[in-house]
Amino acid sequence: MVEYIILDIARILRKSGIYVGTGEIADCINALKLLDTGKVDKYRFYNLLNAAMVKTEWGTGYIQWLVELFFEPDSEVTADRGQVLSMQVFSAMETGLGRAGKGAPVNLLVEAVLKKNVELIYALVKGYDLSLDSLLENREEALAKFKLETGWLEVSEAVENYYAQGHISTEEYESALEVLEEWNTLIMEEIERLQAKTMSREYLTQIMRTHNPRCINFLEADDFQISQMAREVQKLAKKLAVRKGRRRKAGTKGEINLSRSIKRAVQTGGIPFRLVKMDRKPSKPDIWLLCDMSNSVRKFSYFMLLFVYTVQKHYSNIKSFIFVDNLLEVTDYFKEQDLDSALDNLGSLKGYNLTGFSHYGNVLHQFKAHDLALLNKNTTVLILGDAKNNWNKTDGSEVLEKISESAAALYWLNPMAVDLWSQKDCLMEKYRKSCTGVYQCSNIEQLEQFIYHIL
Amino acid sequence: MALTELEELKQGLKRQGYIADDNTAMILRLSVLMNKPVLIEGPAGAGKTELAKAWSQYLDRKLIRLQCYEGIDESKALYEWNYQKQLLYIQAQGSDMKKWSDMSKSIYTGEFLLERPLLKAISSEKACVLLIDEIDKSDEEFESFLLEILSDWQISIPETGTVTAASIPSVILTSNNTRNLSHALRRRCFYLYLDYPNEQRELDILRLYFPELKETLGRQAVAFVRRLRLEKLKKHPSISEVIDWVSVLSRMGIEELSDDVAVNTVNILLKYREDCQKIIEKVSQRDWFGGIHNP
Repeated sequence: MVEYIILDIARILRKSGIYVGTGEIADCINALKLLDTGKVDKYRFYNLLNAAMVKTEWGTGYIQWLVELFFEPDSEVTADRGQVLSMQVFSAMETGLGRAGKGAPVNLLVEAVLKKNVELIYALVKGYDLSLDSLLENREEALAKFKLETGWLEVSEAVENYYAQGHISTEEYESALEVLEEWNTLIMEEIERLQAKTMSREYLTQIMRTHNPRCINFLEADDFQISQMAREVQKLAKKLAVRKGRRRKAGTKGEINLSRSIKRAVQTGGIPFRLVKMDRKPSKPDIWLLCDMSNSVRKFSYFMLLFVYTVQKHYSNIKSFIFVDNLLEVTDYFKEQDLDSALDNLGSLKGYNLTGFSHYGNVLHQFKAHDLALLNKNTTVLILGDAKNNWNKTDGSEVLEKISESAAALYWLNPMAVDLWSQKDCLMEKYRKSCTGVYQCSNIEQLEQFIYHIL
Repeated sequence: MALTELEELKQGLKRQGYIADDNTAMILRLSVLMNKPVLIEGPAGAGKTELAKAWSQYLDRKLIRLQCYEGIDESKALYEWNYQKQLLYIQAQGSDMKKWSDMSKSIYTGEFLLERPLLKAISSEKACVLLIDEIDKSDEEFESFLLEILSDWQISIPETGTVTAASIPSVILTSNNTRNLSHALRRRCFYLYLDYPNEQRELDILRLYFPELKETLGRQAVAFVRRLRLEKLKKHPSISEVIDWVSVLSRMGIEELSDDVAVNTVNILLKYREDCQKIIEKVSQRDWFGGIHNP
């Protein structure tokens, strides 16, 4: 029985972008047998699955999430909370208060919201037996129905009224809004879980995928995910930085160079006592990076700056620029300080953001005027941005052609989905013609693919 | 595997001066039962190398350590022919020239082979613990050398053939997670993520080292360190630095951690000037340091 569960989990993991080998599945099953499955508690089980299959820092939590989504929420937790609920509801009903939604009294719920009693709300959401059959297709509708049934709407109304009438202070009101927001999230999660339960496997893998840090869109990540993803981005940048070149130099390891060894043997009377070895010399890649800093790609540019900074730390021949509607070189700025202060103090830099709207035409023309002459045939130019020109007349596509001609290669990484590239003010399709390569880069997986491609 | 067995393992590690959590104990036990290496990742100073040391003492096996660095290759990790010795041998044999085939046979024997840690580990008669430290510092090609030894427990030497393991070592690989290791390597290992200990475990560790430690000082020290680790610093204090720090505090006869003491001794915990300055500034802020007195 356990074997099937493991196999199933492995299959879902694979579909959600995590590589699981057959050998690893076998290991996992063997390990479970050794542990004597009857006695394994669930945390041990999650840890083991991470140790044998997922193998990442965040894997244990990810597995736990999958198992709860797939089977049932943690029964211990819900049972505890359920009891709290039934007791409070019972005592409230004895005193004859009104009821909201499907059972809990409004007053009790309002009080819970004001007192930040999330436990009670959690129990309430979990306690309902909601049928979603007819609403599965539409999440908005399901959410609305859920809000009505659990009494969210009534409570929110009551809180607004209290505030309007001056019964509660602004602080209390704000904290109540927070709790309501949390309630909302709880409902969303419950819908997600119910959908996963009733809907197809594809849907489940789809949700799993969106929670896999390697597949999360740069533009949609939350704070916690950002810190995880930042580390991955830095690792990738390092990968780009340590590649080896083709030229060789004498070193302590590598292939034996016969002619040099014989030449050296003359010193020791013809006996080649020391061998001369030739190692591959690390190449000095020549890269220029242009990074869009406009608001529409704010989170993306954070990751890209991280990327740029890490690459620059390893390369000597690198120039970095940032821009919104004006081009600004930041190579020296990055050189002078460490990563955190460089990113924190970006606001103090002036001259790259005049209007707040990106203007690719202007930026490219500036590039042509000041920097194009310095480009040589060994330089790779990398543009990171969404190619939204904000309906400006000049788009600079002819400059792009020139850049491409004078550089070794010109790559463009765009965080937007490919089907949006020719819509609205996005000029990606137009720019594409002049680039050596254009890549969608909205998550770590795609960034990795790009790096493997150009290496 | 009974749970008592794991409890025993934890106690055993504790006797060696290492406090392990349930997960660590389980994975180590499984790795021995299934003859699989353990890959340990985590921040620097979380006790990865220490775990390997304690593990070898607990198993009463010899610890063979391979420290990885940028540019490490098979001649430093697996084996190397002692080229100079081979040359001398040929010269010494020079007068009565034997046949070429004899010569080539005799210079590729164990006598001329310099064993490096990996070969040493699998050729030893008594099973040992092999620690491959900071594997993420090595180049990607180096990982491929490890694959054969980690899954088949053998090393192919072109001149002599394959050396199969006389005993299977318990292998621990550590990584500071600065680059992604290849799937091929990960596939062959169990994975363990070792983070900084939580407050309770850190307090247990301190008690293990300083049985005389005062309750209040212990709690305050642990709370202070925890707070440091939550700050954005260049380098967070490692467990060994915390132990050093507490040992200084107890030698100074300090019973309670005041802000003066914290400011004066913070350079034992933090090794960058910017970090020290940042924390000294923070300590002077009442609400940042205030919570430490009644944790």
